[in-house]
Amino acid sequence: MRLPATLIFTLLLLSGAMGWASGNKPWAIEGWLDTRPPEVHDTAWVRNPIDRFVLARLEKEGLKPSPEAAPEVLLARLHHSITGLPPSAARRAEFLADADPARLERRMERLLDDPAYGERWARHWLDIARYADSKGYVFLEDRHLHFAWTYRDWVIDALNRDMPYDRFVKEQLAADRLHPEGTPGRENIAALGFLTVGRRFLNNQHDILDDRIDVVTRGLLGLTVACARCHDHKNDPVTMEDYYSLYAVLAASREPEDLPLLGAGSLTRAEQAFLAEQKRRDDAVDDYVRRRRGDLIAGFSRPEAVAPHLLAASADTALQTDLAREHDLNPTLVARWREFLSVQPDSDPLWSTWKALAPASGAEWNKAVMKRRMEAPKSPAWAAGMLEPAPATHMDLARRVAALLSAAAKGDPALAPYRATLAGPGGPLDLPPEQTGKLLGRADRDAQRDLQRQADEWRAITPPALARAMVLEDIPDPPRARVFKRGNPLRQGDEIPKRFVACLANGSPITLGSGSGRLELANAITRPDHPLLARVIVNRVWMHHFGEGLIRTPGDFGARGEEPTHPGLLDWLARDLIANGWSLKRLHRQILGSATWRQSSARRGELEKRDPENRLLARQNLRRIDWETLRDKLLLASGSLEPARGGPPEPVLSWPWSGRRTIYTYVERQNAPGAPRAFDAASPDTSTPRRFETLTAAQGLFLLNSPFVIDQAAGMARRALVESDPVTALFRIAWGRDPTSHELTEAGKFLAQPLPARAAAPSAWSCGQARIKDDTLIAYAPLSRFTGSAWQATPLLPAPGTGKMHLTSTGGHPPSDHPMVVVRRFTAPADMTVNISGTLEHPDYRGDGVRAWLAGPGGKVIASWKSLHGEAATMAGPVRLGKGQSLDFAVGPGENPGYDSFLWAPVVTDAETGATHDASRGFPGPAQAPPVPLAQLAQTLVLGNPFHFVE
Amino acid sequence: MEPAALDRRHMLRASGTGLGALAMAMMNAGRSAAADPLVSKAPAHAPRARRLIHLFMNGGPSHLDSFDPKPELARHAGKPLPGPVPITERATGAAMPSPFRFRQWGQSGLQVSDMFPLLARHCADELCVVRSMRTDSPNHEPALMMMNCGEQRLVRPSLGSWLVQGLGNEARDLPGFVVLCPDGMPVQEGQNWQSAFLPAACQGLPLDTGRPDTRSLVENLRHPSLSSLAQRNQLDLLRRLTPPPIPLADPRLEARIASMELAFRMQVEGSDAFDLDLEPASTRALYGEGTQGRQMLLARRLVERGVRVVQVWTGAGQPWDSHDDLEANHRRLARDCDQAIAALLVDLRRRGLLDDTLVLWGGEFGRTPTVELPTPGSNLGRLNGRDHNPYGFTVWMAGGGVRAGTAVGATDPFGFHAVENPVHVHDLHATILHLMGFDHERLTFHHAGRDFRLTDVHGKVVREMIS
Repeated sequence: MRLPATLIFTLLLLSGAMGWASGNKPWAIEGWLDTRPPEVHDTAWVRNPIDRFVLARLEKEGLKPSPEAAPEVLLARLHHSITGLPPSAARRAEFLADADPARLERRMERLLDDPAYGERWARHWLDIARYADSKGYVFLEDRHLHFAWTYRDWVIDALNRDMPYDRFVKEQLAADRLHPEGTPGRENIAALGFLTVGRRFLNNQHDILDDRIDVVTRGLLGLTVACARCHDHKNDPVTMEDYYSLYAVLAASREPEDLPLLGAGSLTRAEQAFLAEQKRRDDAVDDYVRRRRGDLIAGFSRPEAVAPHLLAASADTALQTDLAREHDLNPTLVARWREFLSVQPDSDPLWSTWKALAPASGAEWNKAVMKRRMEAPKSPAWAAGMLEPAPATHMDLARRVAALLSAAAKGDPALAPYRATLAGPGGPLDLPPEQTGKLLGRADRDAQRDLQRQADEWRAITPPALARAMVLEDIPDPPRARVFKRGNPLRQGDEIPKRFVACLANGSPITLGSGSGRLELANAITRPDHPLLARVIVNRVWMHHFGEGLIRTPGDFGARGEEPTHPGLLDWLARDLIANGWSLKRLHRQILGSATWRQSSARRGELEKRDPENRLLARQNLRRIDWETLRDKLLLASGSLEPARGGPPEPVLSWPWSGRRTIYTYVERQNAPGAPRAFDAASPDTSTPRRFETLTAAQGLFLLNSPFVIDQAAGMARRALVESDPVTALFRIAWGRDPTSHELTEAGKFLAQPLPARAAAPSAWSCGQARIKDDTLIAYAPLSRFTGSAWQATPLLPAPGTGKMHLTSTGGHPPSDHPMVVVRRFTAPADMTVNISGTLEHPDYRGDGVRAWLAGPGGKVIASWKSLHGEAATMAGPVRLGKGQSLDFAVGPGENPGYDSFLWAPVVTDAETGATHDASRGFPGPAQAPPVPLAQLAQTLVLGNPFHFVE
Repeated sequence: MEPAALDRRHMLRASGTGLGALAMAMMNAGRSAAADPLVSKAPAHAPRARRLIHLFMNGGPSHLDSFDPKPELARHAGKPLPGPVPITERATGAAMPSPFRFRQWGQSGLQVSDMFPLLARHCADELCVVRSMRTDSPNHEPALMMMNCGEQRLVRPSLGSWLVQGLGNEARDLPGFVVLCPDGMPVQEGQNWQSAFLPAACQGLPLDTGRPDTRSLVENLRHPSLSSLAQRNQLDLLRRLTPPPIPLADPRLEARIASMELAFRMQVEGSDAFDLDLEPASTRALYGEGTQGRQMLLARRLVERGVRVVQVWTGAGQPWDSHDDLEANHRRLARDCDQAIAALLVDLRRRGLLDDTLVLWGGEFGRTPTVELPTPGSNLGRLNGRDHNPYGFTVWMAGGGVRAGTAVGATDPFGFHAVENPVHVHDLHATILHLMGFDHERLTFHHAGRDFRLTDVHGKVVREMIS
């Protein structure tokens, strides 16, 4: 929508007067503007200086502010703004009965002290920090960021303690440098998750660093420095030198292999045992390499391996490439051979011949061989044999040398001087033990990575999984800063000084010197003499209290971003923040204490024409609640919200439902589940300054049909039923207010004519786990968690003991340990004789396949099958079943666990009637009682606008 | 339509059985294109195609054995190719002739091998085969990202989400971008249909078509225990509890209520879209039994209802990746989908949908004319497979505005390099956007300080592909 011409004119005038539209330099990086609160006529309206800025603009436009919203509206708005949780009926009644004119301020103080404040505002910050609990796409390695939650909890705690914002930022960039090991405050290292919880890009370092540069510059400063990766910024005064300075700073830190434990102090016995087992598992990974060392060196000592390596060490790049296609060349060994050759004396009969012929090729080869045979020093017979008969190619000669070295190693007396050439001290294969890993081929590396992944998973999922911090630490020898031309790391320019973004340096360069330079970077970003950091956070906080920022492009303060609607106000708040110890709680108090914030959000006729986007703030904005608030409100309304705080994440919508606030649910970066996505939860791909607000049918379907909402509505009805007036109670629970008489009448009519809900017919199929022992299936236990598409034993996979065990409608994954099996159970609805058909498929090309069993009544195994990288028909029967007797379709891993996903949805056919029971079509969800009428009413209120909008 | 002009009685009527354009208008009234990217929009120029079906043969099908005949390979069988062999993922050796037989088909005389006998027989004259495709990497992950998102590593929106963002969603009761993939995820998983910095609603909705009961594919489509009459009752109450729209009310309020109505309606229409039992037996027989027949038929039902983009994957992982046993693997994979793909084209044609539906077939790259050499840990060492080939490969398009019955471009005599009229993936994207009504240089989205586009700074429209 367009602004009226008069308003635009005024804006232009103002911008000229204040000087923030000059040239190409974005206003946001200039110094402070005039922040004196302007004079106004209607001083009675003003509650604090914020209102002067707003009112002065309105008066200039001849507009009036809106009246203050009703007390119950203000109360709901206050709770939503501070904690994201509506007030309980009791707290609401208490507020409305309070005659103290300062009751809103008092409630505000209580809410700012409530730990729920940190949970709400941490989620806003996690949008900026592109927080997730997973790495994004991985091929084989462990996909979880197991300890991201320690960062999330740090943010919550820091906000609750009202950590000064400059400190809050510094900790997230350089907590490790601020608190060296053993000093107080060391637990703040969890803050470094700000840098490390990003996507892992299959471990491409350049992209990981680019992501970190973006979160630092755009997230903290509203500046799009990542644009300058390949060329200077087109719109903003940001150069490639700026980008690559930051690149060098961030490249000078690494994540240690063992993340440090949080919460120092004495360990319990269980924790000690855990650490011991962890060490054993980590050692097993190293042992693998150590055990393989002998074999690997023996392998690389074989003449067939020596010859190509030797040749590659003397070859040019083109030939090396050719060799690499045909032979399994190890680059480390090629380098070691080259080094070895370079130190062999010219007097050595073997190596002097080799080196003399090394440069020859093609047509010159024969000539060079002839020449060498003539001029070669008198030498033993074996040396003459190198060139007799003349080798046809360079490779021929390499094979001869390799054969000689092999004979020497086996003890040929004539070759005694070369006995230890290959693996003896200083020989090409005398690799220092710690470098053994470099000898591993692809298969070995896969095996080692597998072990590592298993160790990592075990470490993260086994209780007590200790809290660890996702830190960075400086590397000893930091790289120098160089510009990559056009962003290409292979085309590096000259060294440049490491320095802070030049346009933010007020003229004199700020060098980022010692060590990585991260601490200096943190100091440069948080210096109080530059307004940008404060402006950006003030704008974000304002946005969450009004629905729109004072700058409506909260992620872009550059030339392409919008200019502030109230520049003086933004700067006044920013200076006030800095002057008061960067206290965010004070900032909240300022904003929430203003008359501007207290205005009604109702639209007014003339105002809508003059200022349809409400840029002048002559009213509040109606706000729709976000995904986290929606889920939290549902849990709160049903009485299932758990007060527990912190800790590892829980699945977001898996049955039985987690009652934790949504900030504590698992954020999946790669395959985000449907519901959060449908309700516009922040994408963890990049820093999200502002969420979208879409309206889709998927949102409606979730509210109408999802078992989660249906269960919460049932819980709401249960809570209301114990009250003297259930219908009124239900309105209070759902809409936070008493019903009107019209609403009571309509609800009464609805309840008077209840439409029946039918219970779903019970499925003949169920899912469980068991053990196979002596051809008998024993110890069947149902799987207790349902994710929406799979049954499993634990909330998150993998889990200790059972690994990735789960069943879906078409297949699943067996547990990792013998003799445990995952079981699809068919229970006969009547006496029947059945035949069994279906196909067991093991689609992975890796691993050693899966085994399957069919067990009849009493657990007796009737048939068994195996499938490896393919399909097996699973036919059996006839089997006689009495009503209530079961058939169990069990699957376990092959000899070794790993790559055991399978597809198997058997079909049971009644031999007499021909009726079929298809495991896929009959796949059960959790049993759910059909909603009683009051629960249907509760769900209707959940569909309604008062549940979703904050006035 | 001005929402304020509607009185309460109108709304009640609208919320009854005859809900249609009115509720739609109400819903759209609450949406401005700036705030809600899914509002249906007109493309920049008159489109030739309005919908896209992308048949993704993941893993990299061999062009040399399907659509790009190379008799020279037979003449060089077992011998090294003359000249340098470019670097691919693994080491390859001598020339490997195709075990498949090619012949000419249809009036166009297009060459197709006996890998796809039904497609060749019934649809050769519909195809525009691009034999000179090129991409930038011989590895699956970056090549998949390039084909889907136009960028190998960084997180960028997929073609499908660009189209939904650019054109909006016509099917208000179905998602704009649906991804069908049986039995699990392809390599790189959800990134293949990601929306990145575009709104999440533009992202593809993945459905596991390995499940035979397609009606249960979409979550929350049905209430487990309430009849639709009981739910109708709930929505009628909701309407009565919602104050009638007043002139100055925020339109988002009314739009939300309208969206509940649409969600309710989607339960019926959405369920229908996924209920293959509603198809006549003859149509089901046309597509054939099995997973591929099921998902191709589903794709047609979805585009028929206005879904903007449907992507259909061969399967989980990288099924076409035949480093060994290429002939057996390709024969099996093609046998599974040949009838279903031919049926899809025939069916779209007879329903008049093919004229403005674009069908794209292809993988992330092609395969080498040289045999893959044994490498322990990498392959089974059977010397009868091909490695990845990003330098030259084939895709084909059919329908909406493409020049049917033609072959565009050519690879060298062995099929390694695209040499004549090379078409980079960026060019393919530019051409698809052009056919769907966009200048690929103008379809941009402002994010993080700059305007992004699908083709970044590359791409040219390939006129030879356009009729």
